[in-house]
Amino acid sequence: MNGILLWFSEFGASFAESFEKNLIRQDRWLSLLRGLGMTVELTVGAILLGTVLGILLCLMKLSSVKPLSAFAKGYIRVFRGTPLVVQLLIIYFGVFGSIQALRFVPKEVAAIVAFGLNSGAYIAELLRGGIVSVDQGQVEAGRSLGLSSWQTMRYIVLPQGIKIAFPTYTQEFIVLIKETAIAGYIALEDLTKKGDIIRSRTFSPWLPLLTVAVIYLVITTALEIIFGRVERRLRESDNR
Amino acid sequence: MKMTKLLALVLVIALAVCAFAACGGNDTEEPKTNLEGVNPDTGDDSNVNVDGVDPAPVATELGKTTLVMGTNAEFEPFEYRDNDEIVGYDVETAKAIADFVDMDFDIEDMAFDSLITALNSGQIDMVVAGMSVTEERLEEVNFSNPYYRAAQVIIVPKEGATVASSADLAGKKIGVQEGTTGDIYVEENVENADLNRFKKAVDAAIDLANGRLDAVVLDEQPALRIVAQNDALTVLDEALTEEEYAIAVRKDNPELLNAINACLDDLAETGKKDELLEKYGLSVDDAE
Amino acid sequence: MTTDSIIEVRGLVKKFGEVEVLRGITENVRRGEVVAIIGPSGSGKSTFLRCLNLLEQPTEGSVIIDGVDITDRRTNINKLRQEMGMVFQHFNLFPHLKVIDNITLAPVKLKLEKDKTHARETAMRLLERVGLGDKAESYPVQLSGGQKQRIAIARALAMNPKIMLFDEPTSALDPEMVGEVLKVMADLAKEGMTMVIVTHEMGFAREVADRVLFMDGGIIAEQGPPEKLFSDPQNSRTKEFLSKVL
Repeated sequence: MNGILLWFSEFGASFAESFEKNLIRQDRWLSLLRGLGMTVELTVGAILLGTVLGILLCLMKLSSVKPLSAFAKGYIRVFRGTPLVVQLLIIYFGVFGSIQALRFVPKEVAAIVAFGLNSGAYIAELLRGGIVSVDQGQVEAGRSLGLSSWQTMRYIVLPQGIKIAFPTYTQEFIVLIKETAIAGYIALEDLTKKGDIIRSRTFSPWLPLLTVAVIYLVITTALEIIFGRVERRLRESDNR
Repeated sequence: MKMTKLLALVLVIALAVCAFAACGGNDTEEPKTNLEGVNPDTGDDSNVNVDGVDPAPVATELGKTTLVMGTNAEFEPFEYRDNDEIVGYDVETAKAIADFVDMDFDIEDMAFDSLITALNSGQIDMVVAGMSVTEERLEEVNFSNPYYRAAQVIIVPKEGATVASSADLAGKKIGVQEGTTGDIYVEENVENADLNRFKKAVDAAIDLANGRLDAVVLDEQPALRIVAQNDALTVLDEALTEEEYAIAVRKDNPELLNAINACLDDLAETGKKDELLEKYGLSVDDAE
Repeated sequence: MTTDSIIEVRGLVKKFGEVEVLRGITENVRRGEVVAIIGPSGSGKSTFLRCLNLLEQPTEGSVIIDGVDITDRRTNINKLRQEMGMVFQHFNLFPHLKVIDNITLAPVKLKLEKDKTHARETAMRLLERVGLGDKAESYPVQLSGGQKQRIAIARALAMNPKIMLFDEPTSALDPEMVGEVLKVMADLAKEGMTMVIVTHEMGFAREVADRVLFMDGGIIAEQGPPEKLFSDPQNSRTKEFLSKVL
């Protein structure tokens, strides 16, 4: 009993010390918050770019125009078949680094482009999954009313396909939040990098990175809850 | 509502685990009592070298037969990759130390900013990485006697440079290697710096060469090697800091520290150190 | 060829890969005529119907609707489909849209109606006509099968078609709901709509159709006025089929 108490008091003291050193000293918590801001900026930028791109790629892949569908297929294969880190490095050091006009674009833009291009490939596929699972009878009903294939897609298939794809889409968003953690490779200071910098100053193996992990966890959990509610609402409109 | 409570719980557990580990981490590395480590050979001096330090207790102290050097092999000429092999001044010195204590030798190549963490968690036994002695680091580890005098210098483009001395650094885009003394120097001494922390100094140099950065602050020797390979870059004469490289060991490894110091002395006395300095193009004047 | 033929089918062949589902059909439908197509499953009834508005592309032969060859590549098939309403076995209502929007979607998007308000007025009239004026704001999932099919009919009628095609419109319905759908169809027939109906409802075919086609093995094996075909079939396959279903 005494031992346990002792352990707790030692634990408490050592925890307090580590907490002060890693989070309070030099306003390090503020630095983490700024990193979080960057993580959010990258994620939101990438999901917006990825969504626009994903819709385009998905329509291209479903298109009957051969060059379009071939391009989309190739694009999706390349971006899903190679590591995101490699893509990020190629885009930052290679593409943005060697093209004069892009060279002085802020780093976060390069990162958003890299994450967005990658995300576009995944979003295209999950959207396509939603679209192809819409009953073929819906298409026939649309076409038999005289709607063109594009109008049928736009007004009948897409709204339903998007609804089906929504849960997977929200997963992609959550995955993206975590994937932006590699932004540090190009010296961007997102949440992970900030934790890493604190670690490089305090040499603490646990607290900086665990704090970072907890922040990610809180955010992803909160998003899961919010998205879960939205999904339920979407389903309810089906069952009214 | 239930979710909020769950979240709070998760948070608390995570923090508790982290704190537990944080203090536990220190405890596990307590000095080992040398009970089984009493060396039967110590009596007859047979294993004791010229400096009077018996190397055998090092293996006992570490409780293993392989001495692991931690480094970041992006730091020519101290440690770098020749094809796949890690070579350099530090590597040869470390090998000599392993020979000196009669242990097998291995190298772990990792991010520079992770070296001290890795040392204290036992993944490596010594940091030989052109690491400068600083007060912050001394809080965490012990350093051997210094073996090389170093300085932080500024790399700039040959043409169109916006930085001509340390006074110009304020408010500029500056590249550094994360966790190095250059990183800390800029953070603490340069006002409004747009600090870009790379895992590799070379990546900072690439961004400097293609115009994205105004300057890179880096240790002198690697900086000289980088500009030697890149015509567009040059190093300013001014030294920002005065530093000394030394080998870091855990605080609970006094035997290892003694052996390292003895070995460094040995290398200096036998002339082996000068050989190495020359081999790697380092100035004898800066050696200590 | 009579001048008032609204549908003319010439040598229609449809193959799915190696399988020949329609093996050369030549047939006319007059303006205002109600034609029922019966036959065992797999006889090609539905495929034939779907070839009439090109939901299936004929392999050979031609289909001429109101003087226009729809198998000609230059024909604007979307325009032509507007003139041919189609009702499906499984209704195919748009589940994400309210009943009223199901009906107004195509007229509005295809600019058949001046504006949304007019489209809604037309839609409400059609809903009243199929007896579902109170369901305008409902979603399809809230409706019974019979109600869904009546909405589907209203949706097709909103395009003001010259021809209505029915593909087994009552096959997916619970028995007690068949009547309400057939009633709407019978009313439509009385008003003079040209209708082609693939059906298993022999009673309905007998009562409402002007002509019955019996299809078997990808051809029209026998045809005639319902009273004659049902009471005095000539073809042995027709006899066999009718003996099973009647």
